Amino acid sequence: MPKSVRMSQQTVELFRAFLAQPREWRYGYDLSRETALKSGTLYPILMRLNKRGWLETRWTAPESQGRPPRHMYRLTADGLRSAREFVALEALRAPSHRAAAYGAGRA
Amino acid sequence: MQPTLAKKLARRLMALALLISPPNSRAWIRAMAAELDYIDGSSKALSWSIGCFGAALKQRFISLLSPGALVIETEGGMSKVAKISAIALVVASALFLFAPTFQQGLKLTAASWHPSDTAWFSKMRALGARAEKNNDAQTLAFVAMQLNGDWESNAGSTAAAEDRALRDNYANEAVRQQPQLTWIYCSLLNRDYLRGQSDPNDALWLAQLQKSDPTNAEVYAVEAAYYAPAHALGWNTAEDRALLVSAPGWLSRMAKAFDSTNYDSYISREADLDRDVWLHRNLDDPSRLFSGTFGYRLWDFANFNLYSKYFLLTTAADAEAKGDLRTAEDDYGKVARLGELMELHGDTDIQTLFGIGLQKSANQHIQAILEKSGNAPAANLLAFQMELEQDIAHRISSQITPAKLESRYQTTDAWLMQLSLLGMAISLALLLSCGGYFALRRVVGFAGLQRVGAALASMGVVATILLFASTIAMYFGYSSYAVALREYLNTSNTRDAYSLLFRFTVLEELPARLYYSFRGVDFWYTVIALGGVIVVWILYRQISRTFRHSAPVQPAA
Repeated sequence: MPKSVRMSQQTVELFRAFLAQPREWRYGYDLSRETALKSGTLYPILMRLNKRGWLETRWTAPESQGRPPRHMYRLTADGLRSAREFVALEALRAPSHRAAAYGAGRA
Repeated sequence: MQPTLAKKLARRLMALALLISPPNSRAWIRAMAAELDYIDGSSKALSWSIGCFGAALKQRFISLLSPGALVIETEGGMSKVAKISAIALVVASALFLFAPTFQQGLKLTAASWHPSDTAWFSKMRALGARAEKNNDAQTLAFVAMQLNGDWESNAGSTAAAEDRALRDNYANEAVRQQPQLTWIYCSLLNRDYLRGQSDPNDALWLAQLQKSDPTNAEVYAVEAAYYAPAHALGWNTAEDRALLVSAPGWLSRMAKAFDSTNYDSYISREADLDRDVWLHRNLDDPSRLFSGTFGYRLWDFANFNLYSKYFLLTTAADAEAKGDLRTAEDDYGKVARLGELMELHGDTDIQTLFGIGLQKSANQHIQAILEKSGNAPAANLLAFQMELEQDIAHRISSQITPAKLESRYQTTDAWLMQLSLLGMAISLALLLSCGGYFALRRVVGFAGLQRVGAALASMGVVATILLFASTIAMYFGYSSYAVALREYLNTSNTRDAYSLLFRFTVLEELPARLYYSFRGVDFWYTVIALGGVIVVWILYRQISRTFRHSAPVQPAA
């Protein structure tokens, strides 16, 4: 992961959702509900991750007749590695962690 | 089950999102649309589709800002959407040319870069010739006021001498046709005096003016100026008095001015003439309206000020000291009367304030004399009148606030218009380059330069966006000027005219201000060099982006 790359809070939220079930294919609407991200925010993030090669996509057959096929998403190996790093980095940046680290350093 | 209204709306919105989305992200929008069928609840579906529409709109916007991605899809040509967008933007920009506000703004902004009287004078000569043919006295008078070629760039030239002869001829013809236009001689004499140029017609004009308006103080003040020693008329110096004492012609004319029973500076008549001819003769340079009128009249104020301060008020004070209260009251009274006339009949706030100032300088002495002579009721009445006048002066002065004065010099709109002009020039240059390249390619046929073509095409799309944005900026930048001009043309209130029209001077002077701020540097070479660097940078950026570009990743179907 390049050090200069910064991720938005929303992207990190999405990474967390993917990391909860790293090998599972996920639907857009499910990700939206899980992360509380609106469709207008979620999909541009998915598009960016896909462009970077961190997200793979596929279409699935419709669950029942008369319904359209759905698009599914999963992080690639690169994507998983980066997602873990960003989530870890974000956790370190959290105020509670900083306070803990500061307290540990003083002790 | 029938879909609810919200669900129907959501589907419509989704269809619209698909329509506006750029080709390289359409699959993603389709993916979002597919989810709609799996969402329970109409409001949730509507909210989903709103987000989807926003995302599509954003993608379309991004594709317009970085059209390389959009153009490259068709390997060197422009995609249909890009073509349609570019054409639509050019057509929309071209449509602005039909808006008079835009036309005028563009013309004035462009003209500010090469200030020249030549075009205006030739227009005036043509207008004058037509007016002469049609016996149009009003237009002849207007042209006579405008033809002052000997003032600016062509001073001393044959054209200037010809214009002067033409001006005199038109003025005389206008007055011959409509004797009530005799007042234009006053404006012309004022201009001549300010420019230090006497005219063979001056004596004749003064005589005619005094014959037509014998009670007007202004016409004697104009004549007095011709008898003043050239270096005497400063604003307010004691040395002026010594010089003017030895100028009996000046003294006698100023005495007549202060004995006059009327005051008309003809400023309103000049403004009315300007408006009338402007509206009926389709003139298009607002900066020529009313130009310099106030400046010329300020010299008359100097005359009034000098005569009242160093002659009438002084002689009155001397008489008062000697106990000759009758003479003192008489001389003070002359100053107060002219002040009152200026206050009542002045066309501008400056005249009103000046008139009140004259009255105050005399009335305080008259009040003291009245009190001394035991006429308390008259003294009290005068004190009350002075209070009222002070109130009027205060009200007028309070309207001339620093913020109002500052807004007069405000240059934001002018800068916006100048930047718009620059944007238009750059975008047209880019569009011409692109058009030229593609025309040449069609004729000659360059194989293997598809990517350069793509870069140029994307630059062309950027140019159309820049052209449209510049056009809009020019239109809105000039709209406040257009409103001021309309207000000036539709009102008979001359008092606000200067404020309304001053902004045109600001616009006109902006390039000159820019030029002078760059003095010491060779301005035009700097502008050309900077422009060149910008164009090369844009070209480099576009071409390098095109070569680096890879086809957008599409979700697998």
